[in-house]
Amino acid sequence: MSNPADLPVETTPLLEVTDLVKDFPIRSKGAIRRTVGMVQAVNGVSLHINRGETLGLVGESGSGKSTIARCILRLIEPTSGSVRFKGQELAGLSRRQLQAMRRNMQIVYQDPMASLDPRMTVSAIISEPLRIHRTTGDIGARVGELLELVGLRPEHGNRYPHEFSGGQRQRIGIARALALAPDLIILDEPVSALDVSIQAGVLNLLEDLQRQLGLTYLFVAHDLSVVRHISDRVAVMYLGRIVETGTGPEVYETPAHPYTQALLSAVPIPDPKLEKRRRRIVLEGDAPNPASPPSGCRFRTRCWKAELICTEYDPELLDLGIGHPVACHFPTPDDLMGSEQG
Amino acid sequence: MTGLDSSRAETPVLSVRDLEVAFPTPDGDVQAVRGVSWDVYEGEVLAIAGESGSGKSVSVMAAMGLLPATAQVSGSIAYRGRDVLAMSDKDLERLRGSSISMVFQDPMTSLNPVMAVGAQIAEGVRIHQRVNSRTARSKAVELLDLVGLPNAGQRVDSYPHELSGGMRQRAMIAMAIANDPDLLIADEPTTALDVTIQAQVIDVLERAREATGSALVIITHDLGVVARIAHRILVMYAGRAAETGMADGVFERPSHPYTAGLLGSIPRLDAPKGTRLMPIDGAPPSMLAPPPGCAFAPRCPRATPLCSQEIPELRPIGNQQSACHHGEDQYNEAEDV
Amino acid sequence: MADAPVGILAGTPAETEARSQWQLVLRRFLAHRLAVAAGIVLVAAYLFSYLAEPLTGWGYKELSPDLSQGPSGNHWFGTDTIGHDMFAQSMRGLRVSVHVSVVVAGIATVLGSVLGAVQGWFRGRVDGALGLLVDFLLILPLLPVLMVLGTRTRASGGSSLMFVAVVIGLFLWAPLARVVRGEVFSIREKEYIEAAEALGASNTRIIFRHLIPNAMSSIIVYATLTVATAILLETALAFLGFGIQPPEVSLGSLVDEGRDSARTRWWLFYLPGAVLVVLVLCVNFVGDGLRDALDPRREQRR
Repeated sequence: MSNPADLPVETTPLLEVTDLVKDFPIRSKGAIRRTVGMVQAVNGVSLHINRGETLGLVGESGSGKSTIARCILRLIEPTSGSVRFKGQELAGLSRRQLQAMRRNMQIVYQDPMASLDPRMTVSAIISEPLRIHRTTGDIGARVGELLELVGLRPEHGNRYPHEFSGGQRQRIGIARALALAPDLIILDEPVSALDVSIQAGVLNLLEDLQRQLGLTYLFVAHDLSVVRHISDRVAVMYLGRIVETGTGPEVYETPAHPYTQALLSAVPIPDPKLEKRRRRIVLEGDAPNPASPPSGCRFRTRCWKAELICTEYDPELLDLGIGHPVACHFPTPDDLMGSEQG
Repeated sequence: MTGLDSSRAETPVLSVRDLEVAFPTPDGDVQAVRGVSWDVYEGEVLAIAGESGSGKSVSVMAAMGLLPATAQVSGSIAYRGRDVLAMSDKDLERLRGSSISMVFQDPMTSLNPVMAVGAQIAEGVRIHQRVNSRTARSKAVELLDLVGLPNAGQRVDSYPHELSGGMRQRAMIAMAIANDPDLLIADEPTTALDVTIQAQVIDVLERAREATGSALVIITHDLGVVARIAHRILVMYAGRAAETGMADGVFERPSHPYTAGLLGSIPRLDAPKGTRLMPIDGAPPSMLAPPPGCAFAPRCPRATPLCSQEIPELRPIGNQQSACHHGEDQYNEAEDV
Repeated sequence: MADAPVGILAGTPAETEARSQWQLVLRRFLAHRLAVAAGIVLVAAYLFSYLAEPLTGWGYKELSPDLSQGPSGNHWFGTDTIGHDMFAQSMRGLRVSVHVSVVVAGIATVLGSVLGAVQGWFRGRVDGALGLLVDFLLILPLLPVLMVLGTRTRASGGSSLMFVAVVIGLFLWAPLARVVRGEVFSIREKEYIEAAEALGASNTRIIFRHLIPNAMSSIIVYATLTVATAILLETALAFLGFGIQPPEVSLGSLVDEGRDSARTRWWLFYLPGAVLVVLVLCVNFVGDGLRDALDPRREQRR
């Protein structure tokens, strides 16, 4: 999973996102649809992913994590900010240049049933990227290879997606993403729609593929346990902002942002004895409406540490001596698990 | 201790025996539940856990008389000794909403979209209690306050679409406990919610249960939720009980390979980094034609020829009950580790 | 409601017998008895129209010595005033009507699907411009326009049958385009369309490989119904004396010629008329059957 030591460390990250902003207009109803407001889905996000590593992007619904994934692929047009892939700026690329770029960046979706065309056979689905990019060579053989790579049988190729179970469908989606041997795969909630017993198989497959093929992952998910399991580094999002980022152990073992702490303490652990002993931070209320975010720190309306400064100044994502960047005026690292693990 | 333990003196609030439910389809009968028995006692929290298609929801829907008319139901369901399946529609209506009430996964579909939430709660109160509308309304405010809806006095006049998912689920819980039920059934109450909201709702469910002293049956696929809230657990697989017992015991020493498999396949927040997950091979069987023996046998690492021939019955192993021919091996292995 | 039935079926692993979507459609269609019967009648009648001449011994242009005779063993549908065998004429008319309407439906379906999909996919100005054209075609009173065109072609020295068909086809695509546009608006939001974009698929590929195949159910149903519309439209034109020119016949021209003698020599009007009615009814029944087979949700809603 992590960068093997014998590989030279590259200076430029594979993907670098700087100050990404995405606003969605809210339009009024009626014949003349005026823009009456803006939802700031992503509000100034910077992140980078090094070759061969997995960055976990975690957040609740409405945090903007999926929007970031789509902005990187330019499936939606970012409002502003820069996305650099292998050092090349993607903003402003023509449609044709973008198409060529897409060979190197692929996406796997949450719901494999929805992301596979129901009218196409599995072979047609997996070979579509090869045909689009006019790959030379035996396409049939390549499809067979890809099916085996993801743990399906080559003869499954002439069936339709609905004939497969959820886990198998997700494997088909992964095979399609692998077809062009991309450098980066964006995984958008790839196991959230699967039953737990199936989830594990897909997660293991993703880990194996990364090791075998040297893939780089951006893993977008709401499930903190899954993100912890698969990621080398983690970024926690709240209402369009990254509030805390660092390596897995930094974020999970010494979370310093109150939101990260609350989030971690809210995840139930399948161990009744541990659950009864755990300290729990239950947040009040809901996340605010992204169309009218609070002034200052966006988390202050639910934060127990909030003071006047939090309503006035938006904290920047900085390392204030914690060891990793946290966007909070009063960061205090807190080991939520360690003391009770015994 | 366990669901079928007759040594327990009190009568259960709800007792399900040998429940079988089938849904006819053009392709044949889907055998959703294939002989399940469980009890829930006063004041306790029973979790029915399983993956999609395990029959966990159907068995509870049957108890509430909420299955479609085409469903073929056999076995017995008794509420404090009275047979629910034999009840008239009128008796069933009286039972639902007053003695037994339910919280669904998606509150949006179970709340009336054109009625203020307070009015809906008040309506439920007035159906089962002789009170005037003002009393019912103040009761609604009181209940909304109890479930932690901020500004309950104002929110009482909100429509469901004006509330967030978490608030709607709170309103549903308020409605469910309005008539002081003996039994609260929650069907995947937190599945559609974000983690932080999920934690709130679980807290509210516990608070609601304590306030009414009712028993709680929670149906969930999330073993973390089970660990947090349940006293006892019933693990279902392919329409049958795989294992049942006190939650502490089952999580510590599972006596069914399926339970052990589930626990091994979840990434845990407290697991050492780099732990390899242990997936369960294969997929659940088709319920149109479930395998002849143990339904889990085709995916089971412990399966022997016996498993594919004979359906294992639930039997005591340690402090639990397991429906596995090799339950002892599984139970003892957990101890060795 | 309960998750079980859906979940269980969805969980059915691929080990079960493979059944493609089209096989399911076929099975549902076969369960629709009226549609199956209508389909059989349709195919049988069309094939039988080729057997008319060898069977009865009369060609449709041939003139028999028997003038204005009622139906008999020799002339099944009787003869007209100059001795045409009406059965041979009706069968020829049936065939012509079918050919014309299939060409019409073909043109209308291709145009309607592609333009509708283009509208739905590109939206914005493309949608607006094509939408204007669609609206124009929809409000245009079709019959007068076709009559004007028919007069002109007749003046310019007789029109070929297929010319009529093509002209009708160019007018009939608008309703289908509107249907397909609506379908595409919902299909374009599906994740597999975004997935195709993420793969770098071109607009053409998305339209022809993803959007149109997924709107196919509506297209097939609508195409069938267009066949019925085209038959009636061609009939109406012929009835008004436009379109088909003698010696060629269609069901419409036969009914037109027979209408004056409906009281005296009923067979000249009612027998070709009956063939026409049966033909259109059958096409409509097949259309109904296809709709139910291709769109099971609709069936449940009833």
